[in-house]
Amino acid sequence: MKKTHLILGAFVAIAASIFAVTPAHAAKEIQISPTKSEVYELSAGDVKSGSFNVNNINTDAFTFELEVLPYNVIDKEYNVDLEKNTDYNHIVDWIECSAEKYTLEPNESTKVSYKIKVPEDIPGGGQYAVISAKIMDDSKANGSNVKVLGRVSYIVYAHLDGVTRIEGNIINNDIPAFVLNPPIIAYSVVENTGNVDIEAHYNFQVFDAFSGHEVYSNTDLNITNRILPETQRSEKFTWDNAPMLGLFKVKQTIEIAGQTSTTETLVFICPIWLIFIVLFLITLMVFWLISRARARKREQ
Amino acid sequence: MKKLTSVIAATGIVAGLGVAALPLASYAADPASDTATVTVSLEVSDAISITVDDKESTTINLGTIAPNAITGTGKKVVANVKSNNASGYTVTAAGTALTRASGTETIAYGSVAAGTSAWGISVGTDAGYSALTSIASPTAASAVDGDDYNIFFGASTNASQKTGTYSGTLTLTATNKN
Repeated sequence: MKKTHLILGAFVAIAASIFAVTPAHAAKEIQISPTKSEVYELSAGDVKSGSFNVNNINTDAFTFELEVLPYNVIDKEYNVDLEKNTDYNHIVDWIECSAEKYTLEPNESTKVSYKIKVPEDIPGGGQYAVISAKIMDDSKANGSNVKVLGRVSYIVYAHLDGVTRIEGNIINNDIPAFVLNPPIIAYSVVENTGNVDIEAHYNFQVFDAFSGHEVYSNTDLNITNRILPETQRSEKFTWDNAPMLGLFKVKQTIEIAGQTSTTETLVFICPIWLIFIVLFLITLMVFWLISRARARKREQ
Repeated sequence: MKKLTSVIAATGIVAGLGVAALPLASYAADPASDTATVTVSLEVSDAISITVDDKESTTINLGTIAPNAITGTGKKVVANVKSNNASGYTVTAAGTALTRASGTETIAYGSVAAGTSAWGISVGTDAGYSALTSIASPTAASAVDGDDYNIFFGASTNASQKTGTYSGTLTLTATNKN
């Protein structure tokens, strides 16, 4: 009986430790949604309004501050530059937010409103800015230190009436014809040579080479990228669930600024070890044929 | 001759077994439906969030460093980013110079090297600290629990670095690619 009690007690202790609730580590997590505005069509003297939500989705309260920054990209991967000012960032000076600072308790949200006040003298083309929400940290620290602050971005897009050039090109639309392993990939690079942002639309489909049956498509996703003026943007689509061996017809279609480019490629996917075995087999066959021919010659 | 034939046969069998063992996809046809369906739609807006966490504080203490010295502080923060944007997102870094509390001397955000006055970061490994501006640039939405980025800190001083405490900030910005 005593033994039973001991075993039962041990079981309860172990179960309690396994199922004990470990307190979640407190953290400050700032979320912004949505992350981009509609595309505003602006004229001189216009005043337009917009809003977004900033959410505290973790367990620590925080205060955040808003800042309007220029929005540019530095490479084809569209890595962001929020410091450089160009002719496409005058809108930074036209945006006013409803407040500079907010405090959010855990699971609390706030709606941030902003106004775009367009001056009388404006250029034509596109204008781009980011309204950022940055967690503040006024704590005092001892010793040499670096405060690490998290910030999230809401991108504002605007088109100004005036001289507008909508121009773009498809620089690259490429599908490798032979891959050693999944996935099957399609690459592309497009560019915007105008003065206003434009959309690039993509469609990626994979068909079985023998039956013609479509085995993968991203058509339903309506993939669209916004291309800023005077930039190039790369894109890559993959079929991750491709089999290790097979022959497929792969098609990629890109549309930008009234141009369309379609690439269709027969893609053979085959693991390298199978290639080596086939080559080895062929080599052996050749040796065998040569040996047979020689043996026949000797008999004659 | 017979030996060669055997080798060829054996290789052929191995190749055949290998192909048979390959995971080949099977494509299931859509099941026929003979019942009426009701379409329910819901629009979910895009969102992005960032957490900066080193388990206790988001202030990294760089420790004590002598003049003309270099240190990997061994300190790191983990930046977690959650994004539901199908085109992915970027995480960028902007560091300020460390300013001396009782003066105007600074340690610039730059490449950490012996004999130079600089502080910097590295991503993923605790070495090779520099004034990184690009932390990550994935081309797909994050994992459900977010994507983690380990950011390490290092610093170096020149021979004439004044004593004192220096402090600054590192801002990590998460932006969806649109």
